Amino acid sequence: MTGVSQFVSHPDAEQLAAFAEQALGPQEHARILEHLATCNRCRQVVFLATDAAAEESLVTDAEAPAAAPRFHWFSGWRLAYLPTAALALVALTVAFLHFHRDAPVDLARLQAPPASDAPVPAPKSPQTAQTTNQTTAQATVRHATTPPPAAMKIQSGQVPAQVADAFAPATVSPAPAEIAAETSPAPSISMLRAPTNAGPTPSSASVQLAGKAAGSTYDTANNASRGQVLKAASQRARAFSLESAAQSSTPADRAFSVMLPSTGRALPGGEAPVSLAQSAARTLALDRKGALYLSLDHGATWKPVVAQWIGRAVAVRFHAAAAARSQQAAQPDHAAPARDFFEISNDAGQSWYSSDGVLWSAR
Amino acid sequence: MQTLFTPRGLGYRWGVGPAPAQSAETPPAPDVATCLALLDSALLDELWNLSEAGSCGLERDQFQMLLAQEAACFAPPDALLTRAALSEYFRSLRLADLTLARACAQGNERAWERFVALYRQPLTRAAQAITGSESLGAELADQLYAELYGLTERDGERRCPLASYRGRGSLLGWLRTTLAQRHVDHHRRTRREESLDDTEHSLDIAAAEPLPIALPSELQALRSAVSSALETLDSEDRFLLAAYFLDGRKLHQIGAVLNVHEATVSRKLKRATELVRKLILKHLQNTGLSRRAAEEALGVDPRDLDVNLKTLLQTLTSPSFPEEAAL
Repeated sequence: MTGVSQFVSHPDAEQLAAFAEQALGPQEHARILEHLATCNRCRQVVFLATDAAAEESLVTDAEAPAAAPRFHWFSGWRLAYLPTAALALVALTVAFLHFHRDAPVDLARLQAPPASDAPVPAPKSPQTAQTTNQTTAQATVRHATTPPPAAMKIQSGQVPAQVADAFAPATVSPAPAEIAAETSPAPSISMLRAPTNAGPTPSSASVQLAGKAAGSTYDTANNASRGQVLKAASQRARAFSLESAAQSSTPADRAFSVMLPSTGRALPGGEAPVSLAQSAARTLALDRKGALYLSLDHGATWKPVVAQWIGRAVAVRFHAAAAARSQQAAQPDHAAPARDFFEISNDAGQSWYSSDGVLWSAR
Repeated sequence: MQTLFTPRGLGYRWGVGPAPAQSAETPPAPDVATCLALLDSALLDELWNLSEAGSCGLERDQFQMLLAQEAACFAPPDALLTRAALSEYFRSLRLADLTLARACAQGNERAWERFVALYRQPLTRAAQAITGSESLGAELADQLYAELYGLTERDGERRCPLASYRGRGSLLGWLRTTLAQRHVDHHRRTRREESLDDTEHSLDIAAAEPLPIALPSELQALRSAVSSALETLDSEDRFLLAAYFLDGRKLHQIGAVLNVHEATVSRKLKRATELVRKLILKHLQNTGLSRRAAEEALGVDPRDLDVNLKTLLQTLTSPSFPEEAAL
């Protein structure tokens, strides 16, 4: 065996280099590997060349920091950035839509009977209205003896389902007492669906509907014209109280907004809501047993709120912030709170307050 | 003299032994004229841009001829050679390296300037890494550089080893492998001239011929079992065993050659040794030994066993390399 013949049967440098660089096809790779398994000389060559390449790469890596590192956007794990970003965008969009969903607001128009053509007096200020209300002024229309309209068969402690999802700041123009008492039939409430960006709203959207056996009392002491839709559908300040009309504190401006359950369906406890309060994104409902429920989707789903008060909760209200109210009211309301909050009252007349409807504390 | 690795076709068919029967049916290799016809201007433009032939000082017609000759030598046979196949073939190559190597082999000065600028220092560094010595490395690199430049002539013709580069791997890889070949061949030639004190005793001990002593029947059976077990292994397992146990390579070195992680090499090695043990046991049991006796036979002192693994692994024959037994 000569030295020359021994080398002729080896793969050439081209093939060994391609093998070391994994540039061969599978069949040829297997053949070279088969040769390397039995040939010490070619194994040595391949290992030496591979080691030299490794050292060269070390030298290259050591020289590389001098150059600016290049960021490869689409290599390795960075490929996951794109779908992750897209997923995050979708999640943010869904969350935004969920929490900023503009639910349509129903406006209730309290239509006065067509027969009453009395001139409409100028709206009164809240203070005046309150005073007037307290002294049983002529501008107040009371339908104490008038049965409730057929569309609103309000029983004590119940929310009429047919007016579900209706929130109506209703205003009845003040009319002469004799006319109202003698000629006016019971006002009818017609539901108007209005966008949430409707005009100014009564600050404390609290309408007390005392649905009693004798009939409903519509306390219409505030400012509006006859037949005029009160645009002031508040997005933020809505409260509805049935049973606790007498217990609840008097709203600052006694706006006539009616908040009714949005779906009319029973609460998770199986009871119908007896008191509701709603802010822009949160709805609180009390059932007959005093259990409080919170909804973040306008009544579609409810979550129970852990009771952090004593006694049985009987009413829940929402108080809008002063800033919002002053923007909406004609005159600033100095008695308004500095920020939005919910209020809950128990059967002993005590109150607890919460800004989110979840955590409650006594004032 | 027969060359095992003939550069014919994309897969470099093996010209081992008598020509296979199907080779008669294989279409003839394309000639240069056919390849020139397939290299239309659009394809030529594309390949020109890919190969950076302008920076190698080549003219367009020179480049076209270079590609046609390359395709005539190494591209698929006529029946398969289409424009698309030719385009795909050239795209699969390191066309820039190939063009530079061919231009250098033709003695193009601009190509040599580019070669020196690109590869002179890496060549020296690779030689120093291979030899483990700065001076020896520089000497080896200079020697190869002179050879590449074509200072050697044969039959009155200037011969450049770069002409044998075919662009399948990188040119730098080819240069490193060529340096390693030169170094290993030089070492193997000159090892016989070294004094006995400098020889690697471990290798000599491993490769030493065992004394012809009379072996008990169990040892004879074990010897044949080891031989047959190693013959049964596939090429990768034998490569792993040889590289790790005979050459003493590290796991990461083997992993770098096989392009796998060293942990994978470790697992494969463990599996291969377990397989060898299992095969030996099986073979011993086939010779009539009980399992317990076979396991006892495996526990024999290796020094009592007349098995030279180095010789055994390196004399295993494969269908592709019938001559390897002669190594």
